[in-house]
Amino acid sequence: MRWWGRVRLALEALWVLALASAIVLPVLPGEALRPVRDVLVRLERTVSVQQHWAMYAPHPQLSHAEMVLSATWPDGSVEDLEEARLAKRAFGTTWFGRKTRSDIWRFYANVRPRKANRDRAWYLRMVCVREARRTGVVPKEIVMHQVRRRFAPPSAVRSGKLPLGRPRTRLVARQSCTQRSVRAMIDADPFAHPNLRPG
Amino acid sequence: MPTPSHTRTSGPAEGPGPFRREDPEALGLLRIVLVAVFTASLCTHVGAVAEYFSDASPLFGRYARSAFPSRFSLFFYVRDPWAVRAVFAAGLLAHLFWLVGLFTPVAAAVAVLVWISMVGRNPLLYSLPDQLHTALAILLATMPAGRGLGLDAAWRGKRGPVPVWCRWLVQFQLAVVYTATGLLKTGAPWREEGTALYYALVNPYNRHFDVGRWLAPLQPWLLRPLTYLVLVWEVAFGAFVAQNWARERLAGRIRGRWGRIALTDLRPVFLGFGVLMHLGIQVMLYVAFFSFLTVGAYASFLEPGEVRRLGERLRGWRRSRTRPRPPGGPT
Repeated sequence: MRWWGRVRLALEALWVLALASAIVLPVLPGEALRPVRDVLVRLERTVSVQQHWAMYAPHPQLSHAEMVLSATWPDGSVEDLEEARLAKRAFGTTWFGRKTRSDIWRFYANVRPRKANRDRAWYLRMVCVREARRTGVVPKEIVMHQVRRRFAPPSAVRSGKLPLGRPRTRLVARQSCTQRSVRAMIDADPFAHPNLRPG
Repeated sequence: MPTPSHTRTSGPAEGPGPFRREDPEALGLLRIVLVAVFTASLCTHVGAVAEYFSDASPLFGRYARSAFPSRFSLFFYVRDPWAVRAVFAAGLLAHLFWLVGLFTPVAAAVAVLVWISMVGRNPLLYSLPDQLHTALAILLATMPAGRGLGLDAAWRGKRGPVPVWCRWLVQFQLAVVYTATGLLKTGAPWREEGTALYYALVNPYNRHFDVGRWLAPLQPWLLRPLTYLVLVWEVAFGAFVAQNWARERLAGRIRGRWGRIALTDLRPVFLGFGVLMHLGIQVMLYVAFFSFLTVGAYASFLEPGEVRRLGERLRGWRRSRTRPRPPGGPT
């Protein structure tokens, strides 16, 4: 092989090594690799690549939760929102065409109900904007409850228990829509309801 | 007997391991299969493009950027609903060009740019199947996948050999997906109880059928063994891929009984089980395009000679279908 053939092969080998590292480094354990891994994960996240694979790991879900949202309006009335209607039929079955990508968004906003969740905070702010757009009135607050049903173990189901436990509801979050940062978001909305447009 | 190459070789045909050159049809087939799934997945956005990615979304403008500060997206800059629809349409067109292998490198780059812009604009609209979609799309876009079974090869004289590492990297990606997830499955439902498949199948988030009561009696003698089988298969997939590389590289060179045993073609066993598992998942659960993507990526295990024989068989079948039948012959 001539010298430029060797150079080309070396460059090609480096390229393949880089691609293979991009695939495997983020999943390799060990503190020694952490600095490289962190940089790589950050770079990959920029282009929305995630090499973290944990399907049904460490175990599959043992319960399912749905968010139930309600809006409190300035006159004190309370209205169940779209999410509450969706939650009512969320414990049945699902098929292609029935699910939308917004279902996935709701799922992320619903995880870790007892801890802070940045995705939930943005979801609830988005709901403030959505409801202001829909009605022309800025809601006072959005209240998020969560309905959770545990899955009975198969041995219990064989003994006559229902596969899904009874629904348990808990309050998860309250988002003020009149808070300054959220109000600024509503005011900046280019698709705001005509009632809320300046002038 | 090794099949003679139909390809002029421009690189080190006998380079070391993954740097050997091979006929481009196997990689071309992989491109067609994967890009068909990417395109189908892209099409599911039609009708909601502006709502998801433009300022018509209630999470709009600089607020979208603040919500996902670590991401890149064209749609942080292109925000008008019609402009966003136009970019999406360009992305769809690029996918079609990528699919048929016309101006493949440019089409692949545009297709990937639009896809990562969609995911980056609101990553919370995307889940695990899309994660694999992104990884495979970027990987495929880095490869000369338009050199075989495409219009670049047929019309523009771009047919040429491709490195073996292209297929091997896709195999490696699959190995990492399966083995990593298998090793992370440490919970009691996977290890001690063997109830993981049962719980996956009763979850109303993505079950197709409400059959928990019928599944519970099947748990001890069907679902439990299957749970363990899936776990072992996933963890072993990495070793299978390594063995497959050795088999591809050393077949015919290693002599002796033990050598032949070590290089046994395990693809029917491992990939057959994978196809059945994903078919089962597809029937029982809503997993979007995950099963199609993973099984589609199995095409990377087909070698060029096998793809050529497959093509010859298809052509023979088509000829036999179009050949006029003699009068009075069997119908």
